[in-house]
Amino acid sequence: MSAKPTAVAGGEVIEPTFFESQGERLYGCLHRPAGGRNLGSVVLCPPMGHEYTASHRALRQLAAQLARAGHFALRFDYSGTGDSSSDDEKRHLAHWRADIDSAIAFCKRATRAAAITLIGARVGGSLALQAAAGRTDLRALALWSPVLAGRALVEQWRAAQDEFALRLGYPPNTLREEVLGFPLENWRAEELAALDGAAADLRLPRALLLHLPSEDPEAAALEQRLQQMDVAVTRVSYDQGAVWRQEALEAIVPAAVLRTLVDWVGAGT
Amino acid sequence: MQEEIMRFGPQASIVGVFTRPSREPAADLAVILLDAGLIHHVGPSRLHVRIARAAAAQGLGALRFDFSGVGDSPARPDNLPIFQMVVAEPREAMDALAAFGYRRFVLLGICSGAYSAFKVACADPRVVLAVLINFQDVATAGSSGEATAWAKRYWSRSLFSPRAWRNLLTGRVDYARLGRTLSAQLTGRTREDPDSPLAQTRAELRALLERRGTRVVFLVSGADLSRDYVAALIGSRGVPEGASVETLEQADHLFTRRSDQDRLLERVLALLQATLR
Repeated sequence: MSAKPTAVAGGEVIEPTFFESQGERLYGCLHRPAGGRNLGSVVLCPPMGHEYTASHRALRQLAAQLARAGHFALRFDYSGTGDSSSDDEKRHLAHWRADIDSAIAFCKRATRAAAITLIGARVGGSLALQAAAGRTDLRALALWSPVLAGRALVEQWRAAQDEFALRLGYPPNTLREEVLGFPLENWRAEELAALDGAAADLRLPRALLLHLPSEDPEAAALEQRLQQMDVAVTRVSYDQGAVWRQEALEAIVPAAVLRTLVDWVGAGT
Repeated sequence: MQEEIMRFGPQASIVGVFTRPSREPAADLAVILLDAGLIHHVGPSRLHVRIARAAAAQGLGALRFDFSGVGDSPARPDNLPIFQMVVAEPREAMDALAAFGYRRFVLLGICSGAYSAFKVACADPRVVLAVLINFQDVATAGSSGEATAWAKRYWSRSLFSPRAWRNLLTGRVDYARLGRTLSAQLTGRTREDPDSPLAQTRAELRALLERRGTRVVFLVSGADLSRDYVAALIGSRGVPEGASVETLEQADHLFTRRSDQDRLLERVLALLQATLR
């Protein structure tokens, strides 16, 4: 196998790698900044399940654009997902939250950064919010439509699964423990339903909250909670659609949302 | 199970994950899994990861990689046209694996990955088995070949399916496509033309099988258009020697149901096991 980890093609430098987390190997891709610049390091926390698949290309493009703007950007897969070790996918949310800690530690080591910016999308945003609690090594936190009402998420996913089953003519109520190709056992649904955007002990200077207009009430409440912890919050409502709901083969990249994220990260450097 | 990053291609820019056999390597045979459209190398619902790891447990090396510009592989700087790229890069993967003693290859792809696997098998005798899952000739999308497949579906199954009628009446049907298909039929464009892309693909298939040494397995989902496309491709002369067609009833295009994923995995592993014998 190729021993040299770095490749350059079309000016883009990506280092795929494995790193350790809780006794398992997580797969990650470190995008190196263009032109030898180093404006900081960013860790991207992906969504889960079918939302991971649907938004993978968007997060990959986000990492590329961050690198083009001068940042290191690490994408990674939680254990039991993507290319990371374990096949059973029976990982609790707390396990994935600890994976974020491992990803932060790896990114800091690999890029020699003292502090990093954390970006989380959907469930990854909720987990990033939890992982940020108590940390003193975060420069900023950006949440892209984090799950702030877990019960509503589970209901949406169940409805999407029902619609899929109806369209294909599958017997009703036979696919309750899965959602669009991924497991959604009752215990996992309960864990997801408990997500509420609670934030505690955040010690970071700034946060970005990107949300759809339909998510406005929960986002406004989170904004208020963050402000009470002296976090400077930028809240942006975007209407470019929910890429995580698209067909896996479509893989549309929401250019305006990515530009907002990259510009906001850059404004803090 | 041991997995490692693999890079290959002219600039070592193509990224993949190689799963080493977890027991004594089975001869010189490796599996290469090809991207399904824009879904990166873990595959739909992580199917490629499951297949690669299960293949490794059987003693086969397994590589899943991203075509340039997809997933974790950067775009190629050489402007190679996409229909050439999807043939060139799997062959570059085979070249890279040859350095580790692999001489024979199973190519497996879903959807456009199946198209790529077919084209590579036609071009390279190192491919001993091409597993073409929900194969359609993507180069002919929107052409008479596609219209022929849809017409076959509408007249042979949809017409008699209560679900299809319910979908038609509740807006779950692509009315534009239905209109295009009926229009194509009315104007005779679904009639077989010896120069049509469908006929050309059929000729390629026959030439590939006459070469001998390469088996072709079409795995089609019962609820997918590829079932009708492959039926049209095979035509009235029947499945040629060296090829087979298997249907996973009720499965959809990307095997969304977990039970369909399990069935596909089981079938693929049986094919790999048979190739090892």
